[in-house]
Amino acid sequence: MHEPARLVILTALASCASADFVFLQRITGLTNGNLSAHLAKLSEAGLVVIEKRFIERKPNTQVVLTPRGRRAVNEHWRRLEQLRAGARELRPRSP
Amino acid sequence: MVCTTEHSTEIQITGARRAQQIAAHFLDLQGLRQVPFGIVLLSLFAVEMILPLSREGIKATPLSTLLWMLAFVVTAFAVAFLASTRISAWYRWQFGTVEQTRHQRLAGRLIAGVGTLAFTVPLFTIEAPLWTVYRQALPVNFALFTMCLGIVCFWWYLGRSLNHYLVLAGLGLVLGVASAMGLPPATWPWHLREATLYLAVAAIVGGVLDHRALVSVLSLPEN
Repeated sequence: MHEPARLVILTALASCASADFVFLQRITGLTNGNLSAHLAKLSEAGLVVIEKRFIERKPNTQVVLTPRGRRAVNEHWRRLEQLRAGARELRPRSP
Repeated sequence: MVCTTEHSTEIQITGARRAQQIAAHFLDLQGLRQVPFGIVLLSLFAVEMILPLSREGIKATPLSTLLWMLAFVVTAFAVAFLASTRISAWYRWQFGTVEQTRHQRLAGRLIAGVGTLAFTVPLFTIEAPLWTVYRQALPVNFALFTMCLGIVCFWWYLGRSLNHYLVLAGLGLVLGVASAMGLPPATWPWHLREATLYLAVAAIVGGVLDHRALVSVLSLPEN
């Protein structure tokens, strides 16, 4: 979740019902292998569900965020916003 | 240290928020799908320029000419629909698929409905009967203002970041104000022609710029 590409994957999935492998690859800019590794980790953690199916006789990998994944991404965003606000407060002010 | 943390946090947030917007509006941003319809609207504008848009004018035109024009418009819309389907398939192949939530589908249909009403209600429900019965038109091209409002709604719906829609809405506003000054003449045929041309330009320009916005974010995978 803390890894930027995983945050992008989970945030994108949180704003739609599901997305396929090609879309996630395009939005993260990751290679097949890297994206597969990230998705496997997220799936192991129970944050996403990976469904393999056929569309017009072509294999298609669909990824769906689980309710647990949705809670986790919402919580992460809350913390990220807090961190941003905290960093703003700590920024040295010009005289 | 603080600056580094803040900077990396900002980069993460910006990247993830952009991904969120693209995923939420993936179908809406597939702008090339609407370009064929924009081209058809341009040809419809040409037909409107040729066709006499009055009861007497239509009666005076040979039936065969009217049928040819009707056939042309119907065929053009059919070809545009087919082209749009092929473009959708290209987007799927190139950028993958995103399934919208029920809420997103409803919001999309609502916006499409608002856009359709913004074009049709002022021109066909208010002005056309007024022109047919009393030979009178509204002093301004009211459809341009409602279409502007529709475009602003679309801009809002897309996340308030695609500012080319504000420019298009501004253009419509300028044309609307010009129509109040008598440019073009305040008649229903001219209002219809102007609104059709404006819709065609908005569809083509908006579609191409949406496509560019989509492509700029959906980069090719790294090596």
